[in-house]
Amino acid sequence: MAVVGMNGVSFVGPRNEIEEVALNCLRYENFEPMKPDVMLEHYPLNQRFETFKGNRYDALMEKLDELWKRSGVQAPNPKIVSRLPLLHFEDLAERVGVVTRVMDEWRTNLAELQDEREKCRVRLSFILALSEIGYKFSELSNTPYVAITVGTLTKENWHRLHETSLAAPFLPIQLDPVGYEKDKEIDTDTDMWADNVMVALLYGHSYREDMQKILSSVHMRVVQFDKSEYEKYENVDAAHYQLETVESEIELCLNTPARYVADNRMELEKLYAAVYTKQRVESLWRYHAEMGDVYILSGWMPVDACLWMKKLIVEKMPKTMMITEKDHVLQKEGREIPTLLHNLPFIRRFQEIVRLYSLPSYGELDPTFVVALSFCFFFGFMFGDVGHGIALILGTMLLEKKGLMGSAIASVMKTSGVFAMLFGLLYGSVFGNEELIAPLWLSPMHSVDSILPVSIGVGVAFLSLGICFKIENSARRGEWGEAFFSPEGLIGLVFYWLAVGQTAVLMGSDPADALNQQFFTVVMATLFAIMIFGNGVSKLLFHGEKVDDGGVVHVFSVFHAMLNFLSNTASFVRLAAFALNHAGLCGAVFMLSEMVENVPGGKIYHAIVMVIGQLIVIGLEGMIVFIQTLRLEYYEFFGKFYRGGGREFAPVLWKR
Amino acid sequence: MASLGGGAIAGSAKAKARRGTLLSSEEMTALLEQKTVPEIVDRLRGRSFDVFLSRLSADNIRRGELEFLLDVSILAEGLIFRPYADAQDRKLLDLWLESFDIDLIKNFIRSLVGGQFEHVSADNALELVSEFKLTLVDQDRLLSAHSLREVIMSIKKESLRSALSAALPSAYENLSSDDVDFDRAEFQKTIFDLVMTIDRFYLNALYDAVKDMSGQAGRMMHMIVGVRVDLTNLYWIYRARRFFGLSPEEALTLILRARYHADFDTLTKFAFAEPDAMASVLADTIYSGIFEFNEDDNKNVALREMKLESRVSKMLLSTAERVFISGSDGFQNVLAYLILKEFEIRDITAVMESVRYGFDKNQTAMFLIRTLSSLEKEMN
Repeated sequence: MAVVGMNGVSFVGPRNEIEEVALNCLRYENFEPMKPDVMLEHYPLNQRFETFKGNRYDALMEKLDELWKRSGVQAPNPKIVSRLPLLHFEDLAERVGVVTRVMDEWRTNLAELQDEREKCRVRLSFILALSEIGYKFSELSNTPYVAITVGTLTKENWHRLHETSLAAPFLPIQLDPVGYEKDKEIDTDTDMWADNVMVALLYGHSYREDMQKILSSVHMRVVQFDKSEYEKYENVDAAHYQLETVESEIELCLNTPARYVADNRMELEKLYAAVYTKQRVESLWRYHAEMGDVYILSGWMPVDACLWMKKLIVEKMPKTMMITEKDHVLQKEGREIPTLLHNLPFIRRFQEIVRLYSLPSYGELDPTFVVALSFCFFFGFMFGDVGHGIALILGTMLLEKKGLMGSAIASVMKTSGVFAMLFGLLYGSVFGNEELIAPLWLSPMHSVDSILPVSIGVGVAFLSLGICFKIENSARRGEWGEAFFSPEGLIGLVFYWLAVGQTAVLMGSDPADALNQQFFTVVMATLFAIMIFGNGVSKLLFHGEKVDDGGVVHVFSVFHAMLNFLSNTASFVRLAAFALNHAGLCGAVFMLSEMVENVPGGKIYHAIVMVIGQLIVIGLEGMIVFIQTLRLEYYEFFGKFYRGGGREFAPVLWKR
Repeated sequence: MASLGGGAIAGSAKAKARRGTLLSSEEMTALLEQKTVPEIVDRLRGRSFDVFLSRLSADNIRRGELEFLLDVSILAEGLIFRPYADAQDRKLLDLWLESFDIDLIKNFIRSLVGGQFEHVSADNALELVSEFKLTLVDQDRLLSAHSLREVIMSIKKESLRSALSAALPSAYENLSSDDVDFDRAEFQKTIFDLVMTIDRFYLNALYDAVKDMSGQAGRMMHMIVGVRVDLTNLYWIYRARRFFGLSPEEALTLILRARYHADFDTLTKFAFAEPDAMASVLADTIYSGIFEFNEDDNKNVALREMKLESRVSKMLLSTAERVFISGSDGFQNVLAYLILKEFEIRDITAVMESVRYGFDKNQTAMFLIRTLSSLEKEMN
């Protein structure tokens, strides 16, 4: 239940040792880099170092990733290569260069083959179009009046060409493309011909020069035929055969990266691990600075990790200096310290609920622990049913498995399901049936008088906790006036408790136990007056403490806070209301199913109504209860104390 | 679009209110009287671009940086209206703001072959308007591109990518600034083709988004984009015929797929007319006079072309102003405001340009898109 303490650290030392530091930071994933000039602005060396940004290894990684992607083999899961000083950028770049040359050659071959395939397709489409109107391909080798050009162009360019033909002496004909059915998936990264339109153009020989210019404007890829081809592909089968031959060659070519990886796997995996490690290290020190041969690396690190790193540096990196800046010093300077939450595994899953609202700022109380317990409690209270709890868990597992629900929210839902089951046992409810098991506590429908005060009592306790948190947060920030005199401070809490206590006693069995009315009024008025004049009192007692609001605004905000005490407390009636609602809805489903039981085939209708009804209760009411629970957390509870707005600690991770 | 939602009315009201924050004629005239760029910057402090201008160091203002920051401020202005837009309007606004992606890609292509545009400025721009996300292009891939092909491959929309791939001859695929002969005509044509392909893609998409919109607001948005489409088509044909010596048919292959008032028939007649007779083709259209020049104009080609550019811009400006004058509410006011803002920035840039060349205020006023009533009064 804490925001982890964070220090600003800078490591200054020779490159090889700083690489070791970086490797260790990567290994434990506990370092968020920042610019050294920010951290070291008070030190005289600030003026003399050069800072850098960028990662030379990104380009190398990209090339290697491309190879693995094209090979269809999953990229290796590299381990940290610890002998970093032996790996120089130039050496690695040269080794990656070999891979790049292989890939470039492959890409060129593939592009040539794809061009050839396109030519074959255009030729075949054209031959087939000609044969449909009774012409032979060879008859076009020598046309005295009409010139014919075939080729492909994009749809957009086809539109422009077609429109231009209305104002120019040429006839464009769109061909039915042949041979595309074999394309399983168009890879537009390599296949420039993908998704184009195939056309034949007829025009007079005298217009040839103008036509060439127009074709150049619309970027048509013209397929030229020489004389030998006219004879060679006279027969459609020959054209088909040629296309199939090229397609087989493409198939072979596509397998080249896979073959290359298979033949050189060991060496490629080593190279991948080395480049990967260097890439991650450079990513970690992307803001590093250099001062001659000395490297400077700055960033944020959890306090525990700082101690451990300091020990490691003393033992293994004697030439490196570690400069630590304490959090309170950095906070005073106005630096935004990142937030890292640390909670027990069960509680951790509820961090997502807190994060959904806003991450606590550094130094603020982390409410995750309370949120975890209260969320489960509220959800179970409103959705208590053994059967529905089980269904909720199973449904969540299914959605999670299908990837329709994130694991963080799924964990919250499953835990909520467990609490729904527990409260189901307390209410004695299984799929809305309250006769199967006896309630361990009460049945909401039959004990309205008991469950209502409990829900209000829970609200009072929860809101009081919120106010306590506010007092603690204010004290941490040194805002003592706020902690004591604000409506959500100590005075406000006493005012609230007195009001609640007096109301409870007056409404209870023995009103005579209530405080004397006059005494009560005087005390409450005094407390109220302290809150009204809280700003002034704070200034007097805590010498110049800043206050948020001006006088009039403050008075209104106190009245507003008083109203909030009332409305926030009343808001918790929803705990009981939804517990009743749940029982009521289930009752309605039972009634409906019984109504259809007497019609022909009634048993089937009964079952159908039951199943659909239960699904609606689980789906619809489950969702509403989830939202209501969030509301109680965010509005009633967080509204009392929480500021949020923290920036998440973002260490450089080993995994990219 | 038939009935206006609360968001559209709020956005419209905001656009009208922000229109009031544009530089008045007197303020623009006062800018013309400044002698140096820092003085102009000082005059502009306290305006909506202050947050951008504050990034400049007072004693070392670089013109390129200043212009760039002013351009980014248009993007920031556009984003202000996003929360007020419903789904359809938001889509249109995002498309409108895609012009920033478009400019970035074009600048990148130019920088790659000319080395004039600093890659880092793209980073800076995106830092300034952190809520803006490039949608047309993969930012990381673009920023790390070293060849024209890599720039093209960084584009996310396949239709644009394949259009650009088609416009890129394989001979130039891997060229970067290290190995380019910039003076080669075929290379210049490649760059020209790529840039035009990008513009065509953007304007066609914009027109497709508004052409079927109904109601008063839809018609107005159709008009705003439509006039721009028509003027682009006419202007491209004019330049292709007059300056690049293209045949009428070739000129027609350059234009957009989109048409507003100037249909293909009009454009064909315009393309087939001799350059000096082009204006007569448009005599009966709303574009009459734009391409009309007297003998004096034709004696000074540079001045004639400046006049033409100014007329085209003034026509777009008056279209945007007509939207406000109509008084109707709707998202069209947002688009109209963004046009006015863009032209205000272009005028400011022109004023800075004039300071560099030492023009006086009357000469500078000729280059401005807006007509300065206060200056006219002064002259009278």
